[in-house]
Amino acid sequence: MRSQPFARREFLGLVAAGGAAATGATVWPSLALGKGYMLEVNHQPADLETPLEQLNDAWLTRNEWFFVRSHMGPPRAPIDAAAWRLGVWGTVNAPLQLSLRDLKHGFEQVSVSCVLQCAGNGRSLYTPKVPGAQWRYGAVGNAKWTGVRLADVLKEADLATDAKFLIIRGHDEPVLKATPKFVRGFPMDKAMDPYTILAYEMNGKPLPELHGAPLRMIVPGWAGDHWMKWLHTIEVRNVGTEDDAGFWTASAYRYPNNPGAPGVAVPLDQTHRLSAMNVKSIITNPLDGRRLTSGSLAVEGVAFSGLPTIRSVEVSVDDGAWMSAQLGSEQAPYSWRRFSYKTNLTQGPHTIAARATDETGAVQPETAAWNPSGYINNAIMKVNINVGAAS
Amino acid sequence: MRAPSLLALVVIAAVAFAWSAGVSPAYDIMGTGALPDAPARQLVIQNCMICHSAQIITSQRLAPKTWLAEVNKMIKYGAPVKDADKQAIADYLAASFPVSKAPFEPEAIPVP
Repeated sequence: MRSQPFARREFLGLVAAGGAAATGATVWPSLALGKGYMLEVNHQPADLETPLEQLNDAWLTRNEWFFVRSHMGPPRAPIDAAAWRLGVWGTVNAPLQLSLRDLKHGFEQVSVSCVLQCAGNGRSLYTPKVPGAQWRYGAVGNAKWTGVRLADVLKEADLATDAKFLIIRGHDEPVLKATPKFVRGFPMDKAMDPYTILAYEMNGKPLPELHGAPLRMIVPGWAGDHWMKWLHTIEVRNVGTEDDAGFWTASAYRYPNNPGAPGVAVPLDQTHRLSAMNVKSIITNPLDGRRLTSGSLAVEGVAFSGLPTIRSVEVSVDDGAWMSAQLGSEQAPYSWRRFSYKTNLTQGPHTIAARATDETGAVQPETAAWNPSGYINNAIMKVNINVGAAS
Repeated sequence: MRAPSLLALVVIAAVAFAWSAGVSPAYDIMGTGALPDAPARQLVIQNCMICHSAQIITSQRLAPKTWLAEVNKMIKYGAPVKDADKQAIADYLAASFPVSKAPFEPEAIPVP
């Protein structure tokens, strides 16, 4: 599972050239503002969404453009990486206090390229509206994470035979004492999955502070609420359940067992802990509402799910037949797959839709099941464009 | 001394207006400029901005009962809202950020 070489440039070069030609005279905001920008969904703590044209830039999302989300923001006292330790204790035979150096030299280093998506990505697109960070499509990114397997660290701590689940804590703290700390319960089977890692690098660079430096959880296939940042301790327990972690596991990030009618509240005892993402595709070119000078274009985007591979992506123009898109050559388990579909559109307005199918055959729905917290919206994305000379 | 130009007067008036509203447009990083003027505005700033900026409020489009539920949730998290102010805050938010209001447009922040 060491990092793999990526042969991405030849494919991306073609896609990028096609995208620029297709949008013709349109000025991209990213060009107007410099190299790029982020959409500030909230300032403090920072919730930053990645614009779609920047998701279209490359298979791996660069660190500066990667969406940002946390409940409390980074620890207010900056973490001294040299003095920092990861505690591993509880029902283990050999409790650990690991420095970054211990992690880097005492365990096999591995890299995983995979998607991180906020559980609430797409929340603002639900009807009726639900409270929470009003993400559209860009609370998602794909990065190469480097660190050590959580399973290897737990083996080093020599789990007791009755070890049942984990309680994971970070250094982030709420402003007010009454606010629940962001503590999470974590199941043992996912902890032992060789793809679940503790990462200190993101895309070959030291993990940025906003993304959890010095160490964060990488939980491929699962929504971002599990990807704890600014790690402090991993406690192993042999009694109770993950819900004993408190509010953020027992009451938040819950999904209805049977999603009901839109707008209807769901009692907590009829929900379960959210875990794996569902199959989803995002059209990153053309952008909704754009006027294109030429009808010859490549519809581009990304597709991913909670499972390691995407089977196919299809594109439909003006509610016509679903046509197979070409999948990009770059791939890794739990990573996203880029797609491209060349078409030639007549003058006038058009609607373009994309839908992905995962490795089990699950297909994106026309409408995602409404749920009170607006989680995992994977409805088929549609963009409206207009082909014709600028007036 | 030359008389000030009309343009200069307009600029001074605009800055003074923004100043009187408690907002310097270029530096409204906490997003409070999007909170409409009303008696409960100050309650929102005093009780909510202890922990977070205003965008997470002004970006919502919610029904009155959902706004009240949000205020109650935040009180549970420790927001020091007095009982007497709770309904006033919920009413203000419901009137200012109803479902019918145009969607929130996040600010574009340049990055390298």
